[in-house]
Amino acid sequence: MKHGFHILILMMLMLMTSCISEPELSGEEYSSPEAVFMAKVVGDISAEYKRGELLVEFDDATTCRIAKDGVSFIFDELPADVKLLGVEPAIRHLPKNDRVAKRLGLDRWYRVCFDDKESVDRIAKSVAQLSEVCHIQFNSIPKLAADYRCVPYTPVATLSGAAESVMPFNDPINSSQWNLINTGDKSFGSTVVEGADVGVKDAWKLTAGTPDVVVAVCDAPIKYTHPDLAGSMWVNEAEKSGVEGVDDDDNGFVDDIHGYNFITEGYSYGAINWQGDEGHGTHVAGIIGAVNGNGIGVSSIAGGSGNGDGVRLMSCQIFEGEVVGGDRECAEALIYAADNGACIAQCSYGYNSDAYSCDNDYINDSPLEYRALKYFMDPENANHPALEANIAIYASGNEEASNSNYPGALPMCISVTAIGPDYLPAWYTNYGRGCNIAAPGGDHTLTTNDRSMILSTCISETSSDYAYMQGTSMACPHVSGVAALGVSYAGKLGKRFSKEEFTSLLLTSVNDINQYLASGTKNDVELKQYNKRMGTGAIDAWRLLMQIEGTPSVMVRVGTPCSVNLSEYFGESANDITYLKVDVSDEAKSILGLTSTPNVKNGVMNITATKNGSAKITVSAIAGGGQLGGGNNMGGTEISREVSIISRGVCSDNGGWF
Amino acid sequence: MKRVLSVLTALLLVVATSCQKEPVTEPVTEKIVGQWHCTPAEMDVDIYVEFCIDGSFNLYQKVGEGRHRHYTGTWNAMSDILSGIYRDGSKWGSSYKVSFSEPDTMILVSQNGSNETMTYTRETIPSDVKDGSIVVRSIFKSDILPVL
Repeated sequence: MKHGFHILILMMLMLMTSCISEPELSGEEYSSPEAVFMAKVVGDISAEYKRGELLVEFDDATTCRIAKDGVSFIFDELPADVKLLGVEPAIRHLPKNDRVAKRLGLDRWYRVCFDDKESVDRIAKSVAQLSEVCHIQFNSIPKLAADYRCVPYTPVATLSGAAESVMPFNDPINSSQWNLINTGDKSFGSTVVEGADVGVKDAWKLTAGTPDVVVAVCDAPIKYTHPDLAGSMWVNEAEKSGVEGVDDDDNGFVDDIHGYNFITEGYSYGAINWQGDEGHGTHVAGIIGAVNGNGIGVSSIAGGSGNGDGVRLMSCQIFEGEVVGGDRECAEALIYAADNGACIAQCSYGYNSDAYSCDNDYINDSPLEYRALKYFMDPENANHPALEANIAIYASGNEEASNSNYPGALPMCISVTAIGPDYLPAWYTNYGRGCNIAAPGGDHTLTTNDRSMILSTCISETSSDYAYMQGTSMACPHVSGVAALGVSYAGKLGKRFSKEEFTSLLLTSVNDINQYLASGTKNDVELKQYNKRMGTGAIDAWRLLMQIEGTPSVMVRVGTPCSVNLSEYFGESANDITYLKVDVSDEAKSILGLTSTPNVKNGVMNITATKNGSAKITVSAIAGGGQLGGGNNMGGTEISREVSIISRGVCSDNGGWF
Repeated sequence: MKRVLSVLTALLLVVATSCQKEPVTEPVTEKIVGQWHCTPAEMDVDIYVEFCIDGSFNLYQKVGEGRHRHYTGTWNAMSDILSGIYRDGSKWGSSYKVSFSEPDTMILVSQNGSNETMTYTRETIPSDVKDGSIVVRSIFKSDILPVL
């Protein structure tokens, strides 16, 4: 009896507790249209958004009902003064990837369309009253990470002429591409530093890209008829040989021969509206994959060896002149890229650095794009045998701000800062929290003739076939291009990496730039504000390919405390990285006779082995700053490397065998 | 005359003595000169070394993964003890007692107390090892200079 009494009290307590956990709003407040709207809307409704549409997440039951009965019942439930033009799935995806889409809840999101003269706010408040609606999102608009400075190319004699002799390809104006091979030619600026480039000179001897690597350029359109890009375009053969106006490959998109225009739907050259477009997407594409060795124009990072064998470029158009895609278009572009074979998403856009203060803010406000990113990176959607999941690379932004734009700031993405040919931060670049790695982005302040910007392909319709631009938009494709080389080389070697492994390799394939940031000024800005805040260092293609081949073991002398330099594992800036932990298995401890776990400080592992043998130790660190991102933080990405240790009787200070 | 003969005899003795020193060092040095290969048992290591007659050496080592790393420096053999210094100024981790079990087999035993013993066989360094190696200048910054 006493036992039963206790259970009764417990049940009463549980009931009371469950009542307390109800919303704090009073019944009247909870039921007010405004309160319902506020409870369901996500994102900053005061930010810029697309008119004539809303993104709506329905509950599971409604999603099933729509699949069975269509969407007409939704129209019926709305007040008469709310006139909808249509309700359609927010994104299209391939049926074969249904499982991933459902797992991520992408199938629950719909696009509600109405007259763009209507108040989005009024329609949103009405739609929010439907009990079937879980969330409403205004289709918010990101922006290109561009400063819209576009300078047509004009021939300029180099001062040293050295660059022309070191470029292996016969592309006539590649001597102006310091970003590929920087010989220290002072015509790019009096403060130019030899080697402040992307490190492809020797990497090209191993690979200049392979056509099985597809890079999706989520940007303004790629001018796929450009003579230096046409040979590098991804081709959807079914659409190319199919019927115009028909979705020949049944992927949900009509006439998507080289990609798709998510703004106006379709993708034919004559339909591209170049008004207001300086050629941003075409410029970005040329940095990654302009055809090498074709005797015209520029060279590129992964544009092949001169035999038409470079990586392929997929145009995922989310900007059209002054018309900007919203969250939905960005999300659909990522999903299209995943569904149609891209393994790298090159994304030179984002939300301003002051839009979000932590990961959760972005995730809550941009649920559709966030889910699309997860879809792109889901292992089930991996598109290259060398990678267990696709990777997304973003520009950090051009607001001179001390944190990255989102979504690049997410730890799952790579955020790229910009340097000039002087190895110093470009005047515009964002830096600090959320930024992971630096790359050449150009800096016009070094010269009066703009040669210190980045030369690439452009569009003759509004500019010129070749032009200089600058921005983290230009830095970003350098990392995408190097990543594409890495995937190509890994494929050649028959190697396969998890996303985390490949990201760790990419972010540790760097040259040190902090050595230039300890003191001094550039453009009256103190350089020390950038010190250790530009990411792990400046990307270097050669280092990445060497790491893909494999990183050598480090040797320690048995019975002697040893300090092991980790720069081969964590890049030239290894001493500036924040290390998180050292993991040693019991087996490794036993093999090496370790009596304590080694520690890592300032890029040096301190270890004392008491037995001869070899074993692996995992070292984790933060790529970008001193704090990890995630949750209510904005910060770096966790990277980890397996350090192979060989304990033997002899060990020299420089790692030599004798 | 007797005095002259004595001086000549003394000179001959000096010459003979000095010649006697050569067989101790010269054969070891001559034997060391050349290209050698070492693949220690139970270690993922592949070592090629070239001891040049001018006293320089080229060491191509592959320890674990990756391609061979190319170290350079100078070597010296005093009696049967081999020692050296790397180009960046780092001393070898040990000197080694040298012996030869056969003309083409060299055994190096470390002299730092560990008695680590490694066997080297005379072998031409493959061109792909030489050409594909990475020059190591120093363990510290900018340590890797690609040579491809």
